[in-house]
Amino acid sequence: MLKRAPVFAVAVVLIWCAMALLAGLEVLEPDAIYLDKILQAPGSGALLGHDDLGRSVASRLVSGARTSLIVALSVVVFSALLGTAIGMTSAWLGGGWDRCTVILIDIFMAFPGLLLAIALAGILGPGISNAIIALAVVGWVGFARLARAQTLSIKAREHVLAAQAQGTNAGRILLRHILPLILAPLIVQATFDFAGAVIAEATLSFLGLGVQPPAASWGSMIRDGVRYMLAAPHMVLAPGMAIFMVVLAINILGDWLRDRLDVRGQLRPGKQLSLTV
Amino acid sequence: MQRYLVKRLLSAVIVVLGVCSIVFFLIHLVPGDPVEVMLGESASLADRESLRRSLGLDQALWQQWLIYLADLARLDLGFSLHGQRPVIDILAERVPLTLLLALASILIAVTIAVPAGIIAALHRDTLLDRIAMVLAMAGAAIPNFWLGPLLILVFAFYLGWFPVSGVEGMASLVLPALTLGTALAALQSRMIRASLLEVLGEDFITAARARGLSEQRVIFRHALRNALLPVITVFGAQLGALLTGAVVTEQIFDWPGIGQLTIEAIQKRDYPVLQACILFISLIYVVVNLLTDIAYAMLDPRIRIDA
Repeated sequence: MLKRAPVFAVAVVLIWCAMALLAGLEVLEPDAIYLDKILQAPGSGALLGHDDLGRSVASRLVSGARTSLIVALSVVVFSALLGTAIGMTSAWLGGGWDRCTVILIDIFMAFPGLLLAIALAGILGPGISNAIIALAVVGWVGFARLARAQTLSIKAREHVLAAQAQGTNAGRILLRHILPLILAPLIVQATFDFAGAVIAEATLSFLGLGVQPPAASWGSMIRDGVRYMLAAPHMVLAPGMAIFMVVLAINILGDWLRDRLDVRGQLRPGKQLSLTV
Repeated sequence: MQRYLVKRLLSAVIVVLGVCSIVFFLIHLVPGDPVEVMLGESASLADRESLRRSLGLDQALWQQWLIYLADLARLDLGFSLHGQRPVIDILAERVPLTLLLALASILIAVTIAVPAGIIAALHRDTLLDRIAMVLAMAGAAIPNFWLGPLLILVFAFYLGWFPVSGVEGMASLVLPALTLGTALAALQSRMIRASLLEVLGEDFITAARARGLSEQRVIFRHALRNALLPVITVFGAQLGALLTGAVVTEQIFDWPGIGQLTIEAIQKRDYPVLQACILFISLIYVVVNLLTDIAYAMLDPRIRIDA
């Protein structure tokens, strides 16, 4: 399984997680203000320089890694659980419930996902938990569509019929006899959605709808930095590079997983990325 | 074909109705009082009540919803909470600018993606292919709120070729369109490459070559026409991403389109305008998806039979 794993991508993701853990230990001071170091360029003393309030860009980058990982992880977990549950039950029960679900999925697919999340986050008000809610509200759809289609194709297989004939209850059949077989495409979908969620969180924060100051997010760091771009381009370069590397790495991992798990034909290109900008 | 059309149109109508309703309930069910936004916190109770009545906010939610749908049917989008202008007038001002930006981005994306995808596919597994695909991977991962500032820094500040922001003739369109078009170009070039490679392995290509047709004719007349079909189908989905990207891009470049209007409406809690913006963007999205589906069904008879 690990043969020919994309080393670069795995390394970047591991570094990202390590940074998030480091931020959790609270040994750095991402909010500490040093008035004598305002807009200081990288090099002298600080690895990545200081921002417009004299805060260390490196410390804020580490702190932003935590924000981005927490949001992305929560969004993907909530979306995947909710979407898979809805999709599988819909396919299993069929009938009116299934028709309603399909219409609901179609309606949600008709929104550009991130736009709805932007509006929702704007209405709910800024903050990390509202950002997670807004992104999960649009994120479940991709999982539901995929889980429904997959469950439909597995439902009629003999081992499921055998389980039914033995009187196994529906919940057990769905969890033990169907879910393991549809897990591969769902995992691939989750990987791509993870990259989408990282960008989505940063987008919300860039627009001022994600984490609130003084908390750091890569998106809000870029937002702050844009105003000082000519004087201190490092304020924009560092967080942008971080988002770029993480998203690139997750996408490479997703491609690799898709090829390894051989689910190419089961994902419709372009439509599975409900969150991607 | 007719049955397919009717079926597809019907589902589009249901989807549009659903989209309107979700937007409506979204805005009415969350905390935040438009009356307070309009009058401020110091207004008297009587003033609030009379405004609430004149806006129809004293009625039950389902009644408000029916009134909203009836207004929509008459293209009455209500008034902005700030300045009392009809929302439809504001939209009419902003929409052309966003459409212009979107068209320019699509043009840029296609100009980059089609040659890049073809070259990568024809030189499969060579250095050229690798470079093109690495660039495409990178282009898809660059967030547009980072690419935009970078382009401004290099092409507006350092080189001074284009204006930093605003709308001052065609030159000011270049950087925002490039920002918005890059991700699309990346996605499309990967798809064109994959699709062309698949088609090039088919029997009719071998047959065309066996007939002694020139390689150019085989590629452009036989392979490319078939390869571009799947690329068209995802165009609708990509447009959604493009319109969302416009929200961010217009914010960066101070481009007064519908994306910037959306953010302004969120900041000012101007619900009628926000509602109209989301509705409009979703509508474009639904219509384009409908058109691509229909175009695809016309181009490829197999779709109709499946449906």
